[in-house]
Amino acid sequence: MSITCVIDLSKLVIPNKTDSISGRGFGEGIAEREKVMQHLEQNDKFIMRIDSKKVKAINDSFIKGFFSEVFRTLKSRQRVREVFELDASDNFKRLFEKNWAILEAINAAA
Amino acid sequence: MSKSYVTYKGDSSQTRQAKRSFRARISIQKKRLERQAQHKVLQHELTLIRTAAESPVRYDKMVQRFCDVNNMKLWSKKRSRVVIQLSQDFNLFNNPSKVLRDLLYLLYDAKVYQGYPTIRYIDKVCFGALYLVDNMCWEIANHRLWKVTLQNMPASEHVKFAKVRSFESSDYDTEAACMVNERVHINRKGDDLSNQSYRTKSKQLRDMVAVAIAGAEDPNYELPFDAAQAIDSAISEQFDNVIQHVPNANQASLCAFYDKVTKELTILIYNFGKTIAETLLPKNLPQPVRGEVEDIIRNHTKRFGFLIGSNFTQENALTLLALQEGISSKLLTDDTRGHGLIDYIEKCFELQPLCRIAIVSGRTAIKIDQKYPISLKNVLNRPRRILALNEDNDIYAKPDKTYVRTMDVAFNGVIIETTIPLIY
Repeated sequence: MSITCVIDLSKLVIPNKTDSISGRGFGEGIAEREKVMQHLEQNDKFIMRIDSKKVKAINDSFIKGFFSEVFRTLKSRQRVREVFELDASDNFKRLFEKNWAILEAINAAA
Repeated sequence: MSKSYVTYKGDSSQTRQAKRSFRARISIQKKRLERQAQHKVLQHELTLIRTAAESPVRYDKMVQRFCDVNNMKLWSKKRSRVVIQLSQDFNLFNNPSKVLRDLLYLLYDAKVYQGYPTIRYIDKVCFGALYLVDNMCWEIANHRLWKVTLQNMPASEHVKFAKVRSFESSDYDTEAACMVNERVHINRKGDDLSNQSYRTKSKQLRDMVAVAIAGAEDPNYELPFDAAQAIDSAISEQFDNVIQHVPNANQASLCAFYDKVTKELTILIYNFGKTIAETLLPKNLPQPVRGEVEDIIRNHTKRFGFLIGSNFTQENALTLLALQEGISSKLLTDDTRGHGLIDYIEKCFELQPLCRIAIVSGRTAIKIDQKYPISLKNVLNRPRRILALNEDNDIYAKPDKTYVRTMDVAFNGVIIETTIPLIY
């Protein structure tokens, strides 16, 4: 039976000290820590939560680091959207969509 | 020749003989004097070379490497004390060679001469260049007694120089400007999830800029999303590159300066280590990309005839290629790499088309402004964001030679200066 996992990115910032999430290695590390690929094999779904009051910026490398393996499995943006629900502001949604489009193009060309 | 030594028709054979012999003696003497003068110059040059080589002033390993790659050991030109002129010209965007050369002169003079340099204000202080000068001054001051003389410096600019203090973490906030300065330690303890201190500085800078923009009127003012993203990206993508591509670098310098009068934010990040081109050697690229990259390098470095065609080097081409989407030395293991620089450049220009970016690495200096925008092109098997810096935005064609330049000095690392006008 598939389950829905919640990944709260707001927990990655240190209140009053940091308010941004960045780094390719950090993205890959979080995906690994949250066992994203294992959950995908089980057909689980995800809710990615970003509290805009706590997180002010996420850099593209973090998103690409997090989703690079995901796109190798799911291939298309459509499939990723079905599995990953973004509980975030429209700004962050646009940011994720832009990076997903790039990852989709890379996988389509491979 | 004096008239009296010229042989005349009426001169007796004895007189002629005497004049000839006198002329010969004069000539020999002249040659001897010339030789002596040459010898003296040579002696002086040798003394300077020896003084520089034997100078007790020893710099930090990477700063010393900066001197060595520019053959400072062989410098022997006698110079008066260094005078650095702070003018519109003295900046990394338009004149990186001049800035780096003056840094080298500073380091050289500190080794060879007892005197101190003068920093003369002409018409403008460009923050990135000033920060580098300050950095080198503190480096010298670690090894010998050192001071600088400031000339014609207006009080408002004097404050900048006094407050930079690039040798330690510092920040300041005055009526005219605010600044964040940090020698950022790179955390490589195998735990990428742990906190990197550049993130703290990114927040501190954005908070400062927000307060500067809103003033006291709106204490809850927050930077718009795109501005926060662009500023954070300018910092985080650079540091991510250092973490990913320069394994020996333990730290990188970050300095950001917001001028409240011009409303311009300048972010300067530099690190010593490998140059961009050194990390992107074609042998590190997967086969299909390598072939295309080699084609591009060939096109860029090609000359027509002896003097026709611009003299772009392989290093120029590789540094420019590193800015393009999906070109990275890590492609062999992961085909989704190579987006950091183009992502950050795109974000800055989306926020403000009047942005200016200067990238200096090795002997290559690249400047980016609104003249040549990024566009999507079908290159290397898929659509990619390309910044070719020429009219057609064609990466296979040579870039504008005023935008991609070969410098007469080299920097053993990477300097990236981003200037963002924050006008709302």
